[in-house]
Formats: sequence, C-alpha cells, structure tokens
Amino acid sequence: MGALFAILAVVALMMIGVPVVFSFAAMTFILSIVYDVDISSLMTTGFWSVNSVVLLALPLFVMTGYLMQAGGMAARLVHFVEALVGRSRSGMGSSMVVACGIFGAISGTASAAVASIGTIMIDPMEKHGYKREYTSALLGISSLLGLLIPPSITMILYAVVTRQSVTACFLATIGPGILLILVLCLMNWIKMRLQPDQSNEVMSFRKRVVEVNDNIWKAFPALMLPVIILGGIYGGIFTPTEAAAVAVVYAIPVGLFVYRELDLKKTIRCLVDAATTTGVIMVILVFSFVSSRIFTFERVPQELTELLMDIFQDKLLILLVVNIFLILLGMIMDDVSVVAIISPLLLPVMESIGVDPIHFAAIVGTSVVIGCNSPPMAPILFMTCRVGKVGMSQVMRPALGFMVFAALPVMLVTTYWSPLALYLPRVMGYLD
Amino acid sequence: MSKLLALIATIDAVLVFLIKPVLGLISAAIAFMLALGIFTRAVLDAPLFGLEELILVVAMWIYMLGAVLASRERSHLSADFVQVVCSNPKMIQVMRLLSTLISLLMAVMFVTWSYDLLQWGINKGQATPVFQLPWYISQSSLFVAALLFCFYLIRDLLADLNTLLHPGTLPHPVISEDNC
Repeated sequence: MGALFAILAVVALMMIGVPVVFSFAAMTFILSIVYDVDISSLMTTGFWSVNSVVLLALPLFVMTGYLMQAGGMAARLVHFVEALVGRSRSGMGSSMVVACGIFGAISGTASAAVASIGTIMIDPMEKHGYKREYTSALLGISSLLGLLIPPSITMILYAVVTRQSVTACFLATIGPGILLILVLCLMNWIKMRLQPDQSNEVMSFRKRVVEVNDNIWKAFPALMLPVIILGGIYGGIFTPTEAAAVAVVYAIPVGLFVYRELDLKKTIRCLVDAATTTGVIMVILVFSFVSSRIFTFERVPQELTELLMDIFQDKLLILLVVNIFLILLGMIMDDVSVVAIISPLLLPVMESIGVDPIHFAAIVGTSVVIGCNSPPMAPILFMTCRVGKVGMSQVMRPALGFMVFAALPVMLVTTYWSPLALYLPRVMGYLD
Repeated sequence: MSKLLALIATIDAVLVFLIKPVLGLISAAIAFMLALGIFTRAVLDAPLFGLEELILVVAMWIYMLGAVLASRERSHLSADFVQVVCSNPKMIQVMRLLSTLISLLMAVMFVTWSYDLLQWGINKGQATPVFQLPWYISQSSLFVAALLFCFYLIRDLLADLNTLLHPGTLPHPVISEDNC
C-alpha cells in the first residue's frame, strides 16, 4: 500500500510539473517515511549503482549522437540513405525510416535523430508532396528506432536496473526494431500509393547508381561508425562502454578533419550537452536505485506478483495487463522513469509466469516506443512538432495511425511471440 | 527582488564559466582514456591497470555537473501536463511556483542525504585499489550538485514569485549570457 501511494505521488507530482528527478526524490522520501527507512544509509547503494562502468556508455553514446549531428556525419548518412532508397515519393519516407534506424545504430537516442534527420528531410519531403504533419509523425515514430536498434540507451538502463547483460538486451530489441522498420516502410508505401501526386518523381536506375556511388564515399566515414560499434561489441573486441568511447574518439577527428564541420567550440558544446542530458538521467537513477532497494526490503515486487497472479492467473492475460500498464505509464511518464522504476518491480511478475528477463527487455522497449509518442507526455512527438513546425493537434492523427498500425502490432508480436526477441540472444550464446 | 536576481545571475555566470570547460575536459578525457585502455590491451597486449578507477572517480562529476547545468537551464525532464490541460495563465503560474517549491524542498533533502553520504565516505576512508584515490572525491560531487540545485531552485522560486506578484511584467531572465 505504501509503495502504491509513493508511485501515485510520483505520478501526481510529475503531472503538476515537478521535474522527474525531484518527483523521484519525493518518492524516495515518502517511502522512507512509510517504511521507516534511513535514506542516508541507502545513498551508498544509489552512489555505487550509478558509479559503474556499464552506465558510462550512456553519456558516451549521447556524445556520439551530438558529435555526429554537429560534425556533419548525420547529414552525409541521410543523403546516402536517400540516394540508396530512392528519390521516389515512397522512397523518401522509407529513407527517413531507414536513416533513423542507422542513426539508432550509432547514438541510441531518439532526440538526436529527430533533430538531425528532421532538419534535413522534412522540407525536401514536403516538396515531394508529403504533408508536414505526416512527415513529422513518421519522424516521431521512426526516431524511436534508436531505442530498439542497439546501442540503445533504454536497454542500457534496463540492463543496469534489472542486472542483466547489456549485450543480450541489445540483441533482444534488434528483431522488433527491424520489424518496426519494415512495417513503417510498408505503411508509408501504401499511403503513397493511395495518394497519387503530380510531383511524383522517380529517379532512373542509372542516375541512382551514380548518386549512390557519389554519396557512399562521402558517407563512408559515417557508415563505418555502426560497423565499429556493433562489430566491436559482438566481435568480442570491446564492451558496450568501450565501444561508446571508441565512437566518440572516432567521431571527433572525422568531424574536425574529414568533414570539417566541427571546431573546438562545437566539440566542447557537444560534450557539455551530452553531460547535461545524461546528468539528469543519472540523478534520477540514484533515487531509483534507492527506491528499488526499499521496494526489495519490503518485498513489494513479490506482493505485486502474488496480487497479479491471484487476480488474473492466466499468463496471456497478465502479459496483456502488463502491456496496457506500460502504455498507460508511458503516456504520463518519460521512458527513463518507466524503465527505472517499473522494470525492477515487474520483472519478478514476468519471471513467475515464465517470461525471460531478456524477453521482458524487448517488451519494455517496444512499449516505451508507444509511450514516447503518446500525449500528454509524448516528449518525442513534441520535439518533432517543433522541428517540423506543425501543431500537436495536426500531427496527432497520423501519429495515432502509426501507433495503432505499426508500434502496437510490433509490441504485441514481441510480447506474444518470444522468438522475435530471444532468437538472436540465443544464437549468440547469451541464453540457454 | 530584482537586485537579488541580478546577484544570482552574476554568481551563475561565474559558475558556468567554471563548470562548462571542466565538463568538456573530463568528458573528453574519459573517452580518450577508455580508448587508450582498448589500444594497450588489444594492440600492445599490455593492459593499463588503474585506468578504470581513474575514470570512475571523475565520472560522477560529469553526471552531477551535467545535472546542475540542466537545473540552470530548467531543462530537467518534466511532464508539462498543466500547460496541456489548463489555459488559465494565473493557474499555470501558481502550479509552476508550487512545483518549484516542492523541487526546492526535495533538493534540500538531497543536500542532507548527500552530506551524510560524503561524511560516511570520509569516515570510512575507502580508496581505489591501484592509485589509492579516496572515493569521497567522487561522492562529494553529489553534495556539490545538491547545493547547486538549491541555488538554482531559489533563483527559479524568486523568478516565479516575481512573475506571479507582478503580472504583466516579463519574467526575469534566469540564465546569464555565456559564450561557451
């Protein structure tokens, strides 16, 4: 009961505009009163949990995203994908989706993808007959591929708070990520087929080969980044944190000397911005770890498990309830809060019904994609509205379409068909 | 109140002048140290011991100073739900003031918790295994961040009060100009 009160208090505080970090501090404070716990002694838990090498991947991947954006790598990447996928109308939408996927394979965040890909692609797409509200909604959902395609910040957080392998969690969301890419491209293709336009311009094959050939060399240094990151991690050469550091060390000279769009001032700004973005998350995590420890002391996850098992009994029903719960929470909480607080609470429930923690990582990841685009919180959708210069009310309809016909089915398939998430971790030897 | 806010803006300018270069330097140093560790291990086959502990001692400072800058810019993650459901400007201002006040109370609590942590760290005398660096270097970052959270929240509280008490006047600029 005390735990429920504390969680409701967090939600209430967040709804009146108290920043997440102080809402979490309030939750910790309430828990300490309800359960008569001394927080000062638990601060050591918070400190040592956050002060880990694994979590260092977070600021470093965010830095890579900012450096790519400021250093011109993101622009080359988008131009290459545009040339590759084609300049036809449906091709442009697909190239936005694919570019977001590739961007996700480098930075692991959605906001950097929105800022860099949105500013480059929205205007040209409008010239090709795309409505700005449609493009913004497509960008909003596609940018969230960064949360699914490794290295994903969300998966790093999940792995740390639930004490799972980061690499296994990365692998678990590749399948759902690729499925989302395919569904979004298909939806876009259907939409463009149903909406014929005079401005339809199809590039000839020969012209496309020339353009791809031209752009691939310009984008080559940028394209090497996901190869280095993913190849290094899965080749066993370095850990995700080391991969993130290599990405930063690679992105700086490429931006400075190859593309020449980065200078010392811009580099420092990128590093400072990344620290600002991740600093907020880290303080939230300190309180989240302290709260989780109190929850564990008080057997809250076990009580929650017993309660859900008593009420629903059936595994499929519990999974459905968890899906709905995660979507509703995503609507009022940001992705960091959902992962940090809810994952450790629900993991015992999942384990008790035979869901693997790595499978649950994929379920959480796909749910967060919906939450990040669902008002009132909808941080990514708000950002795409700003970048696309459209109102929230205009973008809601196409965004809802993408959520109902793309993100929701992907979440349901991920939830009820575990091989989609577990095949790769199993093949790579992270699961029995 | 204006004089007080002007004084806070001056202190803020000094803080930013100090924090931003330090953040940039530490962030770059961490990335390069980790890359150096891979190079010596994978290429030279001579792993560098102690690199990881050096990194961890300073990493917490990146997080905490980063969070302080977020406080300064009022860019902490938040829901902004009130602005979505309410169109009454007075009500929005009152809710904003209330949220700042609650945040300030929590920041004060954070000061006491982080001070206890620092005191525990000093008394315990824990140090890193290779270089024997005391862990309170890292733990003190939480205390410093908590104090600076309070500083910026007091600024925000004064600015919010000012806006509420003097409707029609523009909100006092809460962020000083900086060149970084």
